[in-house]
Amino acid sequence: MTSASALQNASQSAVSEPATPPDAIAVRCPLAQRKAIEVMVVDEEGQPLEDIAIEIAMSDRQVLLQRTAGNGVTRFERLVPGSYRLTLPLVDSDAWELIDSTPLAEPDSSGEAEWVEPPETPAPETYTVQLGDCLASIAYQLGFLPDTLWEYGANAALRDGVRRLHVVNPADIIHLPKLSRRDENASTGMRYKLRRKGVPERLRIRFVDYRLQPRAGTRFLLHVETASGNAVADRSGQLDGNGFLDVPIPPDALHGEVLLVDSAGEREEIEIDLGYVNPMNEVSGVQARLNNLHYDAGPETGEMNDATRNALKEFQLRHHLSVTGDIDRATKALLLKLHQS
Amino acid sequence: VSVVSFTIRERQLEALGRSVEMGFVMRMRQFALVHFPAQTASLSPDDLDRLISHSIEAGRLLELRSARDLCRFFGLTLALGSEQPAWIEAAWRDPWISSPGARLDRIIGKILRQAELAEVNARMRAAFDCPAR
Repeated sequence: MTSASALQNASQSAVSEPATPPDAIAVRCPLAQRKAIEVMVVDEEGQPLEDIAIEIAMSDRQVLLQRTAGNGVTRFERLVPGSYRLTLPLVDSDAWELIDSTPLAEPDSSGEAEWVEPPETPAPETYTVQLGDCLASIAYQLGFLPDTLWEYGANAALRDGVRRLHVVNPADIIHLPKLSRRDENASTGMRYKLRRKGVPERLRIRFVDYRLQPRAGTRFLLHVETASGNAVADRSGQLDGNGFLDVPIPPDALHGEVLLVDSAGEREEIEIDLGYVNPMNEVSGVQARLNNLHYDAGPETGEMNDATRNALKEFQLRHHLSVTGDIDRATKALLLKLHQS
Repeated sequence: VSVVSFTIRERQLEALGRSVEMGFVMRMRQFALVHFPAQTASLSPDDLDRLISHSIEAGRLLELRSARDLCRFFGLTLALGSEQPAWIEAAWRDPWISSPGARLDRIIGKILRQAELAEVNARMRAAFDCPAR
């Protein structure tokens, strides 16, 4: 028996222990009927989201706080029947919505909920971008929509007219607005379904062969690791007719490993650092995109060198552009279009 | 109508509490032997009792109060041994889970989910002739 299965059996068995302290000799009043409120949080594709903080409030100074489990659900039990305020305390009001409420077919519980004062955690005012971050991952971790951060007045310097939408560089300072709060009414005996907007992200990669023909139908197995350390189910399938692998991933996905197996059984493993491609206004960003499109620009040094110039010339020649070996406007535009980011 | 009044002295209550707690320790001993035979095989009865007492103390420091939660915490301690991942330490201090019992729920739930996903992923990898991670 593994430790996990022993833990599962043990936890179930422990439920037969009383919910009172081991030295307690009091018996609860059977007339004190208590009810539950259940909350589920899903992403925009209806998939459950783990570790989302949920607050049920009786007043400004009396709250219950829990986080969603792997199935996206958390349950507040031992509530006096009635109405409470429900919110996601770490998510901006624009970034979530109530989508459904249904009666909860569950037995009543007994005991008393342990109300606490809301924690006083100072909200950060800025965030410094690290290598591997992207606006989506930052926004998700801080409870915003990417657009909310991008459009925020204090972040005007990010929108300097040169950058593409949502592109951030390491060491950029992102100013954070105050999280705005919204409450929904929640009644005991009900299950509420909330949607976190702006989630999931998608991983979209095109695989081609040496003749630049799409590797349509090739089987793939994708493994993803996240910044939060939360486990993610691997995904498998076949590349579509244009050779694309296109799957939802958590916004805090950091690293991926793709195994490709073609019809002849040939295997290829590819590692991907997500969020690590620099913007197009940097030489390293051009090098990364050329390499990703199978033009050998060499290591992504950020220095313009012969390998990068030759890769640029090959790219320009193949796509009928002026063959200059320079990063001119037409070359940049086509690189962005073909790379799709 | 006659009313019979009687007084329960504090010391009598304490004695009753102690006897209830001793019964709890005995149930914990049985619980450990049934569910964690591998982890308890090398322990003498005294060692096991010391481990139970230590776990009850540690659980109370984490503000776990009920017999149910202390029992589940003991199971967690036995399942993990001394190698506790860093995230568990952080989870015990999570200010966004207000009840210690809910923190315990979250930790056990997360461990079970990780194990479940690891099994699913291992099956998927086997279909690609890859060893489990």
